[in-house]
Amino acid sequence: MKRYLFATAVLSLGLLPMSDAPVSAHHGNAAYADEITEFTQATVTKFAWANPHTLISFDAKDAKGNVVHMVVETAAPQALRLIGWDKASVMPGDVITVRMYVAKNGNPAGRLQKITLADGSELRDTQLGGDAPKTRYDPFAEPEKK
Amino acid sequence: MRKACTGIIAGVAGALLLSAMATAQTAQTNTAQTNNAPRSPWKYYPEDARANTGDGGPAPKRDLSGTWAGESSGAGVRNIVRPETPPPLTPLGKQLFDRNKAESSGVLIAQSNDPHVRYCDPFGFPRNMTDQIRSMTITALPERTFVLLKFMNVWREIWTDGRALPTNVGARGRDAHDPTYNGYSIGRWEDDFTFVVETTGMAPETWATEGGYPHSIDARVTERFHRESKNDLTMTITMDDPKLYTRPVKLGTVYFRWIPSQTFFDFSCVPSSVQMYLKEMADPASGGK
Repeated sequence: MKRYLFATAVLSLGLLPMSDAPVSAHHGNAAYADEITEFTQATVTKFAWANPHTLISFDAKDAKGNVVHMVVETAAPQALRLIGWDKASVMPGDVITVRMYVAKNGNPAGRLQKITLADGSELRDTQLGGDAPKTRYDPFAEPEKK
Repeated sequence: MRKACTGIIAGVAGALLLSAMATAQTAQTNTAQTNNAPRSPWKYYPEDARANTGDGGPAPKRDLSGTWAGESSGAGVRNIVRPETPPPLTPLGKQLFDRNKAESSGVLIAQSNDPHVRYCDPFGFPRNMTDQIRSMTITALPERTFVLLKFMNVWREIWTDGRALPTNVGARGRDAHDPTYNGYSIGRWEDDFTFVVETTGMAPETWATEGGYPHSIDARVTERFHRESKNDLTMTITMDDPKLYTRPVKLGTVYFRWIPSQTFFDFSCVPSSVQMYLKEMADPASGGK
């Protein structure tokens, strides 16, 4: 039997500079908590590489040890490809760590910050993938030019 | 004691320096890996567009042709100067505006009636020139200029043969014209580097802006495409719609940069996928418990 873990963490300011994201936000983030929730040993049940938003569905255990089914959204495939994702980045059955901003209303859904794959590599969201709370991720971070 | 403090400070400083060096090295390694990766002429590399600094020299005369990166391209293009808010609405304009529940006004997705957010409906013009600006290609025939938008694969047709705009869009009768998502457009060169486009007859069910501001069929929108240099193109857009606004409205200034590879990716909102997204993700996350 696989063991699922649940933890909540408030991130401190990170090292990555946050300039404009590769692709601008399509939707707002007001529905999501300001703190990151981390699900370790999350088992992927579906990976929808879809427009306008890629979705990862997974099962994990909550703080009380109950199995919960979560859905987390990230950017569109075209935006994710620019920062290292592809359509087979995760597959059903993969066991990963998910860090996400969960819905404030308590429903099992949220916006991704990043996932950590079994080999230790990380894949981030564009819109909220920054290390500082609720900030964008820009792999090419440099001063904006006209 | 003083020596001990000095040692601690030096140690901490050294550790920070090593950490910074390690971070820099990692960044360099990642960059190097990116640069050494096999290149495909079919793929868009935003880092190349970012590396193309400077103005590239003088702009060619009366020529906007080519593929341009916008705000949402990842190429570090300057952000759009957004529409003025609140625009000066007439009572009818306010009535129509109040019906529109835009996410940018603080409404969550579950409560929004944005036709694009809910159904992937076309933005329509002029919204498609200020929202989700990823890349744009401009090309010209002798009597027409085309503006091709990568987001939603939209193409606009701008007539340059000297015709006037239609005056009876949406009217009754066989000679009338139906409103369209992109309206009816004519263009002319104001000078060697400024192309002015005027458009009317846009489908009134579309929003003029991401924020839900409306437009009527009779709205008249003016775009001024100004090519400042080989690499820089700026478009300012204003809307005159006396039925809904008490004076012409500035919709924004949009910046574009030349893409060296002239390659970009397609991006369309897929209606079946957005229904899955709303059902499984967005509505649960932003609706009631």
